[in-house]
Amino acid sequence: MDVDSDIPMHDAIESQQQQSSSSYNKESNPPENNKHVSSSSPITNSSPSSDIISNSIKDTVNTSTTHDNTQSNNNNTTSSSSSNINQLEEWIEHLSKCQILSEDDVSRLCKMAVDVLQYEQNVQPVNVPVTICGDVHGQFHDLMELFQIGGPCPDTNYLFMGDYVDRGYYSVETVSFLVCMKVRYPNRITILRGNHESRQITQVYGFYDECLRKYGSANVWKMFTDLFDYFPITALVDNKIFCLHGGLSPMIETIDQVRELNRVQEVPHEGPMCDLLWSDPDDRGGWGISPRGAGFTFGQDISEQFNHTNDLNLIARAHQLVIEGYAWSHQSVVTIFSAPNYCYRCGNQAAIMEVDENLNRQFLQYDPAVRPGEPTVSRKTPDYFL
Amino acid sequence: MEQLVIQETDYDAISSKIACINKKYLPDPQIFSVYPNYELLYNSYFNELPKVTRRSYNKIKKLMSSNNYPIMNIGTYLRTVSIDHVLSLYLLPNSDNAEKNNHFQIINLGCGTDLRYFQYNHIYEERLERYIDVDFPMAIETKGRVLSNLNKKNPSLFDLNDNGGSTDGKYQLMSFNLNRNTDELIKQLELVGCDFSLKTIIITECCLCYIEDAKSIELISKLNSVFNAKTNNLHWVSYDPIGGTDKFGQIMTDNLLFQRNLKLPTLLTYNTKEKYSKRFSSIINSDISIKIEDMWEIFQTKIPLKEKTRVQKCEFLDELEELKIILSHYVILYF
Repeated sequence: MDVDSDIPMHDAIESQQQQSSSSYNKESNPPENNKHVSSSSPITNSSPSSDIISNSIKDTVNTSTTHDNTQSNNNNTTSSSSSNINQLEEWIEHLSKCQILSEDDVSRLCKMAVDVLQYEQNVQPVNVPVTICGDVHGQFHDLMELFQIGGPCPDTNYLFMGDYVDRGYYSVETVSFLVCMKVRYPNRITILRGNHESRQITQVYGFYDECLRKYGSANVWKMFTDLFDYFPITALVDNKIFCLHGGLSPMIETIDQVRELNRVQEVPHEGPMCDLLWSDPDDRGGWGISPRGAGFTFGQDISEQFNHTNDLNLIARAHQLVIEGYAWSHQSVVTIFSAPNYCYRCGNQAAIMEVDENLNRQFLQYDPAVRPGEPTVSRKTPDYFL
Repeated sequence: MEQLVIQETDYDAISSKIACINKKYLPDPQIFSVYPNYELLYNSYFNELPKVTRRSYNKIKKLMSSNNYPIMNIGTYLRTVSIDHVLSLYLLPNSDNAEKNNHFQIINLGCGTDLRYFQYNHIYEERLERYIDVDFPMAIETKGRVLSNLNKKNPSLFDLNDNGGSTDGKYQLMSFNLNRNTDELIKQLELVGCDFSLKTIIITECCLCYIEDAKSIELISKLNSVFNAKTNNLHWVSYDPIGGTDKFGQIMTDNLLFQRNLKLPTLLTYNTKEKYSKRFSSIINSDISIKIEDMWEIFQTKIPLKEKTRVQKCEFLDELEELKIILSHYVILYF
């Protein structure tokens, strides 16, 4: 499924839907075999999840539109694909300069993104070659550096394993940019959910405050956190590399069990979906209590068994700061962290992992982006004990 | 200007401490059980501050709204309790010499808004002979005015004179720029009633890190000799950042210099625990054993499990790796 980078958007969405429809496990939402996405807009389906979508969108834009109005708006946005592409390109160009979108544009973007993301699977299949990336955490300039190092999207396919927001100073720009890219090139970029893509965590770690500061209200935060519920939680690269933000769960033995989860919800405090986003590999064997207070630690015996059961070569995950940008645990678990000098003070390198057509892997490490002429002085000082 | 930049680091310290109190990290239950006014003390100080200097108050308020990540709260908690822990270690009555040496004095160099006097006077009222807070003139003036105002409102809690010192002269607020001649410091200490033959604990909490190397050596060495000339009963508790052997120190140096014009002259010189303790061991009597621990070690090994569990429940900590990096770059030295 190698898609031309300039593929019109309705085609891209359609192929995404077709690809998904065969194995998508949710009871409803079968995309109809209609050439025109517009007329069979998934949002018109009466499944519980699509109700959630339209309701939440109505809430977030805070208008008095009826359900029907919302649907027809949606039809309009998806049907005029070439104008959508123009719109997306315009947004991408704007965001590339680290400038935020207007609240209305974020609202439109999130609607378009739901249309794409809701058809992705819990275990989203991804083809090689692909470049796999870890935590970004609002370090927008370093994300631009990442695309310099790894090659521009869509020429290079990307798989991001979550944690786009919180901690850095540009969570809004970072997540807006990545979601824009996702909607523009749905088959070229995959964005998984991290433990920070959550209503609760973002209220403690910065994204909520940043939205308030930059937009004067929590509307944009609500739009994005509602959207996060649709992000896929894992990906499977060429059936051999299992990618997810955190790690394994004692309640999950097979990848098929992940496929059965209902992911469209806030990240729960416990249970398999929580574990997939929160767990860490550990030197100790077996399952352990996580010092983070969510998820588990899992030993080499656990990861080996999981890889054997599911015929995998490798588990790629993010979630932990590693000084070199990547680090091996056990023999077949790799941690990738893509926020260099995390929080502008940790001094770590970042890394991304290129996987080629033959599943050969190569790690690319990089340091923080130099920001010439940037008003770094006005930037907030990182926190120190003084 | 440079003085002001250093003085303003107290805004970071006090904002972090109040954030920690608000989130119930501080005081730890042990302190709370022996000094129940801890929260009241800091909150009433902070609430009185805008009446004396609105500018400082606003700056602290602003820092409080941004420096409130759980990682900072845990670090502030550890910094505070580790110093209190060491102090209580030295203040436990000696069984062998139960009389004179049980009395002690504390000198806090670069005290800022630290209010430990009230805490320790409450706990060790009989034995505490003198408590001297030393800082830049402007910092001392502010502190004196705030405390004196508070005293008028609640004399039973404070018992202070109009300058902010205690009515019995036990608590002294002393203006002194530590970059000046240490002989002058010693003279002034004597003037406010410092007894060089008394068991003495000197506290430098984020103080030495702002002083030029040569000056800090002079400070340590002269204070050491003036106290140890008469008694072998000098203790020192010092908390500071260290540069480490990774990039942390260089980044910290750059961040603080470029964004706040704050210099940390010895951060990269005394970048490891070993080097940091050498600045003392090369000066003081060699049979005194110097202990030094970083905050990560304190967190991992010195905090009782029950207390650690309590602290981890104050807020949800999202990751440990960053915490480990940060905490391992702050040390407490004591002898």
